[in-house]
Amino acid sequence: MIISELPKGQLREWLAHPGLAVRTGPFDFHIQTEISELADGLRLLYEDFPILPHPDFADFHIRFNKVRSWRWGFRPYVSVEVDGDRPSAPVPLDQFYAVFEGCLNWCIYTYAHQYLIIHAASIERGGHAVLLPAPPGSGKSTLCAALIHRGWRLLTDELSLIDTESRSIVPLGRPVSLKNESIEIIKNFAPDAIFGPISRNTVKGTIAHVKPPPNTVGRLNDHSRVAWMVFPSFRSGAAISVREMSKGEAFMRIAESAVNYMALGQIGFDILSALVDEIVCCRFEYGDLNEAVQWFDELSNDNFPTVIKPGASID
Amino acid sequence: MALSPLAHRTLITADQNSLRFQKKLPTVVWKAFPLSVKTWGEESIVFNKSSGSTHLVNLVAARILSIVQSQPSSAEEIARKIANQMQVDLDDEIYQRVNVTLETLGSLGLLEPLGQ
Repeated sequence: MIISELPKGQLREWLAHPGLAVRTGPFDFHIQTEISELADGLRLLYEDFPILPHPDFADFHIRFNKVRSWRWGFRPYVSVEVDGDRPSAPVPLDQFYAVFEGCLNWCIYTYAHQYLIIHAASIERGGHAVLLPAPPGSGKSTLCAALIHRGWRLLTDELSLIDTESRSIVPLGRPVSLKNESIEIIKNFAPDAIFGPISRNTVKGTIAHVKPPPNTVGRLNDHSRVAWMVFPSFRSGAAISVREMSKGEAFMRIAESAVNYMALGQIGFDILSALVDEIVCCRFEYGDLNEAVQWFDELSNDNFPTVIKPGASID
Repeated sequence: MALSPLAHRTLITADQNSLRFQKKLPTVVWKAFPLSVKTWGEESIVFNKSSGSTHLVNLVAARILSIVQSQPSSAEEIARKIANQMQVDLDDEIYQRVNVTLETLGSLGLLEPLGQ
């Protein structure tokens, strides 16, 4: 059964009791809450995701409770509990959806050390995956959201899971998180994109999530080998500039972006060494989303676009 | 989201070839901690299996590590082997560079003086 097959009232009822177990890629989340806003968000963004019949067997058990306190002027807040742990302080109810997505991420990067976890978006086309690691504000998610609305398959937006044996990416397929001006940019770029609830005044500003395109959820068991690692950075008005990185530099940049590289120790070193051996890594500066999408189209045509080789001078 | 930074990240370059460690006695014999090394051209990534730290090092540092990994050696022995590998005469510049790099690798916890 998938979420869209549940009548609206029943979705809310199940969320309240006994909770809803949703599968996203390799993880099963048991989510329990009486907060009706979550049902609305799930119906919009997770409608194609499978529901499991036995919530008790989920990997993570998450509970959201509505709380009020004089400290917050009796405004409604939401507290979060994951298997008895509290990953976040209570947040205002109107920021709830962003916290829900952040909480799922927290579960993965705190516990899923069977994978090398890279803070990166990943997309795939023609069997070749592209990793897009970058710090917040570099335009990674904006680029990812644009590309998945131009024929690329979404593997993941925030956390890329690398299988330690095959070194392929294990898709999560969850919604893409956009912040601040990126929301309007993608609304204009892809008018058919479906947005979930908007969380305003969070520590990161305004956050909204984009629903994964229809080709995403049905292929979550379809892992992809990484072919390219592209470190994007957005600079308003900049022409496309692509510079291939040396293997050593690429290794260090990916290791910095890997959430659990240190925790994996020798395994992390071995996976990254092998991965960097196999792929092309480059810095990618762009200032126009349409031009960037065009460059990625060339990439997917097995016709590797022009890049500046390591050590070459820039004219 | 809080991300764990690498505990140590170091780029050793020729620019660090300062003379600040010259006072150290050249008779010290160095030994390596257990290391994994991956080399691409003139760059090597070194993983310290004891501490979990990772470093990007240049060609000279990688050669020194390789020599000390195979056998604990003094700066003089290492300098001779490096000069031999590079097919140049051993001179003060090579000797000083080896000494400085040894101290840097020691401060990064990749090597330590034998007996410590």
